[in-house]
Amino acid sequence: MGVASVWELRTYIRDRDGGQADTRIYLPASHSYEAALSFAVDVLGPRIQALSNGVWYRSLVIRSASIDGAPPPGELGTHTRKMLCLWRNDDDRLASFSIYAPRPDIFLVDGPDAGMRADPAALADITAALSDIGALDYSRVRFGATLAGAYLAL
Amino acid sequence: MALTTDAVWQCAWTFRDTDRNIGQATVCVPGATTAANVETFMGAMATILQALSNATLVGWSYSKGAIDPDANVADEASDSERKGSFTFQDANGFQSTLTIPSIDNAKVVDRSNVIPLDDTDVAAYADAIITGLGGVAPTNIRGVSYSRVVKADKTHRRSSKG
Repeated sequence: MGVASVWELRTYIRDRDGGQADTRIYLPASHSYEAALSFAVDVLGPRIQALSNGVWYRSLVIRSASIDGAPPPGELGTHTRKMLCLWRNDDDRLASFSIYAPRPDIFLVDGPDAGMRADPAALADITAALSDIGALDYSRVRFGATLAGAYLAL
Repeated sequence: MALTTDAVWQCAWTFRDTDRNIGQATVCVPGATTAANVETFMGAMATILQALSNATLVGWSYSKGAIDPDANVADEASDSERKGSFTFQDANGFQSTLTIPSIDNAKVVDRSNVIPLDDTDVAAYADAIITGLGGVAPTNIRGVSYSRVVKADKTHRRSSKG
């Protein structure tokens, strides 16, 4: 598998009536994030603002990568099957994360939740990865090191 | 213009299933984390997530930008669907169009839709795209640098919101 990545710079313009649009350019992946942000904010934004009577209000720097040569999805790889994972943090709050098309073999095979609840051992690596970097969910709740549960959600 | 840097990186991994549907898994990472560490995290999570899903991981992205929460109200004559359309050509002869929303009417030649390339502000923008600044120069989506601006016109195109 190969990974091809690039920086995408978006400059957002808003008009008087709430309409908004962005303009996009790309930078080679060899540049640092700081160089890309500086180009977006210090070079591109002011030059676009000089040509527009809308208001430049946001610049966004996106590192996007595409993966070539990835194996084809499994027959059960349908995104209508999702697994909702919940982690509890030190503040006793739950952070959530969804995994699309979970593999059937990560679910418990015995007990009342068989086939619906994931084996915690299968999620040990993702638990550590999210916790170690201090990741947050989209409600800005920090992931903790304690897996509260992971369930199939159709 | 007082831009405030985002508090978090937004991270996403994109999957494609056997029916070619697309889905994403998303998290945020504290903004103080270095880009290099976020990149490492993205790669590690890609491996972990692919082991848990039988859809195919086809890409990932992470982003962080800056916003002016107190941006001024735009000029009465502004319209995000009135674009300045700049056609650039790369070294291989491929052309692509970059648009500037709500192009200022003062930058358009009267009784035409032409944006003059010799205008000081237009030239500064075109030079930033072609030559870059501080060792940073844009490319097209193929990763090829732009070599010249072919033309610039006022056009009307739909906006994402507007």
